[in-house]
Amino acid sequence: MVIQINSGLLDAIVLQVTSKEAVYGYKITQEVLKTINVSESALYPVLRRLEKSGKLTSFNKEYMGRNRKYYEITKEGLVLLEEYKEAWKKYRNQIDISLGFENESERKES
Amino acid sequence: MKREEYINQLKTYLSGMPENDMKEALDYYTEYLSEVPDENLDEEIKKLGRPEFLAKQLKSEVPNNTQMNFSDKNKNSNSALKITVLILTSPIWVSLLAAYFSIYVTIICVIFSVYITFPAMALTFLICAFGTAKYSVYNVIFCAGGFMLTLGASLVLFKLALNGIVESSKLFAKSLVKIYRFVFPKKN
Repeated sequence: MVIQINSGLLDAIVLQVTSKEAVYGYKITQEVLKTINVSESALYPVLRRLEKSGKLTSFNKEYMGRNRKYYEITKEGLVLLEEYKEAWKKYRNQIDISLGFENESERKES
Repeated sequence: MKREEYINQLKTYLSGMPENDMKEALDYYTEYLSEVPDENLDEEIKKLGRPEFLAKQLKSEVPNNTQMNFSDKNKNSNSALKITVLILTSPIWVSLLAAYFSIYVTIICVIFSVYITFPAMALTFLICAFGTAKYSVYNVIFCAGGFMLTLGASLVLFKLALNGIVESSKLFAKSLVKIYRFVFPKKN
């Protein structure tokens, strides 16, 4: 059964992937797809939007004769990522509770 | 499908997009496909979807389009407002429209009735000529002459009258269209 992901979560995951090290588009896509089942074409708009809003920065680097555009998180991006993480924790707990996982979520908190 | 073929098709379907945005998108997907190992290429291209649909997606993501969406929303509420006003003021404009229409009908009738007198006169002369043939030669000559005159006139005037009716109908229709366009302008 598939639960839809909204674009906020996708942004958060992309920010997380690019926070560890600079990554290029194809690799980001592969990483994200490990976690959630979005379409391959979903990543480009996210990357573009995050870059245009200053949450990501990019640079070009050559690899084996072809050009790669690497994306890296910015300070602003890190702030946003933290906000997303906090919001997710709250949201996750609320959903857990309303779905009857009360005990489990309490365990998760500790 | 090969990489180049896919990108070329994508480029074609992206036409109409702002140049900068198009270049960025094409660069991204060119790079993306170049990272895919040959053995996975067909599968990856299938996952990306047909270039036509990808292009459609990309076009709708461009920031400029969000501006277009905003004014579309505006347009809808604008129209809604206009329609409301129209309904509320309908007693006024409906009767004005009816008056305008009756002016048009009057003009047509005038043209027609002026014209019809000539064929009518021609017919009268004809009947007269035949009717009085028995007792007055002069009458016949006079009426025959009258008949031919009025017949000629009606033939000549027929085209004029027809033109008159057609032109006034065109004018009437065009003016209606202008009024409509004034209230509901065409969006370019």
